[in-house]
Amino acid sequence: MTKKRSNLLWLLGLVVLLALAGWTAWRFWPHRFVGTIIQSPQPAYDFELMSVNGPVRLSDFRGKWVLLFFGYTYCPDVCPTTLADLARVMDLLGPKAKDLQVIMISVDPERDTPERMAEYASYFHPSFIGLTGTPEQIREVATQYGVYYYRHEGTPETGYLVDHSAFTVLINPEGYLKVIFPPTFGPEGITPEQMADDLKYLMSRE
Amino acid sequence: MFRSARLMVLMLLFALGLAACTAAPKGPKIEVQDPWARSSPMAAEMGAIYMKLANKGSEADALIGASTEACKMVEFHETYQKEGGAMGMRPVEGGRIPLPPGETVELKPGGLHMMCMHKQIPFEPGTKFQLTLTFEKHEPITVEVEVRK
Repeated sequence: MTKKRSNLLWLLGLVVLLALAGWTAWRFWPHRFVGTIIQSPQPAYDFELMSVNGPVRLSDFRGKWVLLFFGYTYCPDVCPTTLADLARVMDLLGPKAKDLQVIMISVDPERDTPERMAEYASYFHPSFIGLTGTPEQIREVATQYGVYYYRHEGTPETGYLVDHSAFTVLINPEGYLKVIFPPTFGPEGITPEQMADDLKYLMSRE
Repeated sequence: MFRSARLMVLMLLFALGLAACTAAPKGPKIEVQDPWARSSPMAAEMGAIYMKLANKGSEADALIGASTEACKMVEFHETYQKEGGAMGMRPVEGGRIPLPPGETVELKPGGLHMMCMHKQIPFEPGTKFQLTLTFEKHEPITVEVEVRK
């Protein structure tokens, strides 16, 4: 073996070693989540609610990641902001976006019809689904997901307003609760970029 | 040469002093920055308008009204965090937004905002409409609001 050749072998070995180290770091480096990971995943409550095309169950989406958001169509600030940010997350996910289903559930079942919810949700992204139900069904879903909502008087012009939790819930393709994401606004708000990073990390591993 | 340089410095200082005086005129001086509205479907009867309001004057003022043909009525509301992390919305106290001198008040998502009641036009990205703001002291200001995603 000539000296030149053994040098080349050394170099090759080094390259392989670096690549291996890089892959290990990429694979096992702890990702810093902006969302709160649910450490002992529990099955997500399997609701049945009404879409514009008929009843929809959460379990209809097995095999897909699901992001749940609770809101209402009379909500001018929090809901459009969140849905616009979730649409941005879809853009950031690129080809992976087809594996994610965003669902908005109404906390104002008296005013939000399935038609209204469909028009509202799909406006922000064509794939978004809007669901509503009877007040009893909505009460049950909200309770199961720890979502608070409270109807109170607004002004004569607004009619009543509904205060509500503004977090989003991520459910994995097997139907387990996986992450709770904080709102995308306010002093501790997360950005769509951070949310997309969490999703990309999880989607590439499960 | 030396003398004229000193004279120059003196004149410059005088000019600066003059500029400083004119920069803070008596009374409120309101500047509206980056007014925009969030695009939303027609199914949503309400819309939100955001902007920054800088009071560059020496006197306190307050925003007391806003009107536009794009909305049946405009109200001032505030999103706030309730106990337990839920978001609440309430009308701004007294229907006025105080504008202290030397400060910039920001109307932004998840905070203070103008609520456009019963939209009269579709809020599509790129749409522009005129909005007239009225103040307690300052004369009314009309700005162009741009609808964005």
